[in-house]
Amino acid sequence: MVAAPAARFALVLVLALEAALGVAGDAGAQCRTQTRVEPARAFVGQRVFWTLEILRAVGVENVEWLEAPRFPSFRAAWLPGRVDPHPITRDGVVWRRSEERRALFAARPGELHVPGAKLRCGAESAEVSGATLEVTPLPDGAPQDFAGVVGPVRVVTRLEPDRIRLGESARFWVVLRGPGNLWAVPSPLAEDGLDGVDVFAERPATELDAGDDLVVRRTFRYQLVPRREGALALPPLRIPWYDPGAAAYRIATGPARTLTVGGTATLPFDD
Amino acid sequence: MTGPMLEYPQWLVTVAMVVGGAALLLLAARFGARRRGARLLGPRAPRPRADLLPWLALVALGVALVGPRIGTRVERSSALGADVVLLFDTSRSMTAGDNPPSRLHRARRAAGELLARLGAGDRVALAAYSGHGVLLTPLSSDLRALAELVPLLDDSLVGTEGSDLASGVQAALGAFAAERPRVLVVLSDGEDPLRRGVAAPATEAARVATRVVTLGFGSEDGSRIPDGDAWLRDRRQREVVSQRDAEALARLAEMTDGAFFAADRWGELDLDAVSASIHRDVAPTAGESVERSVAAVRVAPFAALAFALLALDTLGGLSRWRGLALGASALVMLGSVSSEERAIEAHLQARPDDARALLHLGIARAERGSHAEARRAFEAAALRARDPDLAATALYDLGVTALEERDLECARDAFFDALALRPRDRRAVYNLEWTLAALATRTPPPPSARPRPDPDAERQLQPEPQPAEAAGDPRPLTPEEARRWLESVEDDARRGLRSMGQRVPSSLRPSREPGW
Repeated sequence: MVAAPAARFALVLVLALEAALGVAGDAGAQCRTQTRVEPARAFVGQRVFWTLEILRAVGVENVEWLEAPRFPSFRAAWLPGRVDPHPITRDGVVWRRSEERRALFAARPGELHVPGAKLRCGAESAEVSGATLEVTPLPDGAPQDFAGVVGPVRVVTRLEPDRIRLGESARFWVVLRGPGNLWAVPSPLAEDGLDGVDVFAERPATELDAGDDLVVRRTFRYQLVPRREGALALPPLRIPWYDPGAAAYRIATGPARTLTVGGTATLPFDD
Repeated sequence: MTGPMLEYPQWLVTVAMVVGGAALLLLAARFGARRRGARLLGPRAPRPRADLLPWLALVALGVALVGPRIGTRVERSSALGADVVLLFDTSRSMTAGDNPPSRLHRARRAAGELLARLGAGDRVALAAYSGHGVLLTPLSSDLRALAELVPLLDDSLVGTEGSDLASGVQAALGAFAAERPRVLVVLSDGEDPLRRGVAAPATEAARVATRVVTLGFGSEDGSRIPDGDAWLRDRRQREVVSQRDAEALARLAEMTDGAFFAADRWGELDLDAVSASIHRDVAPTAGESVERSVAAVRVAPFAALAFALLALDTLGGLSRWRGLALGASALVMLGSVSSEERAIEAHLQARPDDARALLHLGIARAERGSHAEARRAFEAAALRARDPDLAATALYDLGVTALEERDLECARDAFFDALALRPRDRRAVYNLEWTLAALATRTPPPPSARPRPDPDAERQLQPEPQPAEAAGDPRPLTPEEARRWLESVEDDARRGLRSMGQRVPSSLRPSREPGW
């Protein structure tokens, strides 16, 4: 804990010396930018990262968009930027370094271009170069119920309560989690998909957890109303997805659940 | 059909008071004349002439004004589809679980399946009510789009608590414009803790020739109402048990020549029968027509009788008030207040897309004071008008009518649209400025407590560099940016519906009455 103030003091000292000596950035450029897209080749729907590295001269505080980046033909999700706390030296010049990031999902195959942008950097403007991504369609051989999900999926289900009486309902959650385009997944349980059970689907919700990586969570909620007594098996749900690393289609499955239905609820005082 | 006996029952009390008051005045005048005669001429004074004829004329005029329904007349319909409004009860009692998982779940499912049974010629609108009623969508033949909206209706849609069926019916009736078979389908448990009855909504629906088909959810045994993790309790901390009021729903249907269908314990209905009931007045194929008997409103005979009585009475000299009464009776006889409307509606039956006729219909309705119906007609006229000038006029009239109802937002939008079509319309400019000034003086609503997370939206560098858009004036979007922005916006129709549902009429105040 003692080291932090000391390091901060050292940093201020270095910066003051740099400013005094006039070595903070070259006189011709107050900012440098570099754009990269990783990976440079991807499948339709696969997540790729667009990163803009910004080097600004020490002493330059005002950096803002003159022309914000655009991502036509992509679904773009914002990711938190990264700021390097320490100055770096590149080509003999000291810079402050930060990164602007997006997760991109290509909507169509082809050579997709991310146009350039423009930054105001101190009193100058700095060009941000465009980038190109080679997007290929997904290969043949997809399972029939494949919905276009690229990237791993984890399936979690919850049934509450798992024991009810006839005339009552149970809530069933299906939560999909992964870094891919999970918003493409349709309801894994059809309203007429369970024999002897009325299924009432609620509107699915999609949440994006933007951290160092992007995590997508898609939640499906159902009300299940059994029409007969006994043990009702909810079959394991399957979510096909494409694994770009292994170039293969895979199936994510959730655990099977059993809903036990016994007795008849007496209305209105059904307990 | 055991519908209401009067077309305009709202006049009944006024007419009774006027007729009764006139009778008292006549008796007093006659008594005074006898006393004066006796004082001047003694016991042999002649009895004053009974002033009975004007009073009888007044009675006949009063009867004509309330529009008695006597006998039936045959109505012929050649329409190939019906105009249907699905009115959802979204009060808390609809969350009861006696039709598992809840009455509202079952009502929504029934509505979805009913939409699948309606035909290409049908047009459907959605409405909802709890503490007040709201029309959520206009009539549309895009039944698939409506089916996607139905699952979004929940008990928090309408901003006020309660079960004001009359308000719901009134809002739903605002959807009807053209002269086609009109059916209002009420999906409800029928329960109203305030026990306001169904006479008022039934009369209102019957007045605009709308049949009400009621679908009753819940059970007569009743069920408790969820309240978070517990059960809803009343002021005395007793658990509230909500029961289906099948009698009220059946009566509402009966009074409007409709039909009542009760859901079974699983919330299921004979939807084929419901669909058949909705299509009762729909011609099976083009060129054919359906005939049915409807109650005949007899205004003219009573007005004519009043006219004749006054004419008889005034043979000896026309006094001022008798002349006035004569004029009034002639006015009533000449066609009553709604004859122009009926003529236009008849015309619209043949040419439903006649924008000019719709405009005139709106004007007639506005003059009658029926602003909600007038607005529907103006909106329809504006949508159908090919002539921009005509559309601008309809929008201007829509704005004026909205101002009459103190709906400043609607008025503002209408005047804006009118000016877009007719930029030099000084009246629209003046009204728009007035409306904007009125809106500016209004207290702004509180900000939303929980803004919708918008992770897909383009955010800018943080913590640095700072976005230019955040600091400076917003620049116009390029077409590509606009397209991307639209794509990034989550298609959340529930927000739109909720926005409609939360529009609480200014007349409503928080109530301490039970509100489930």
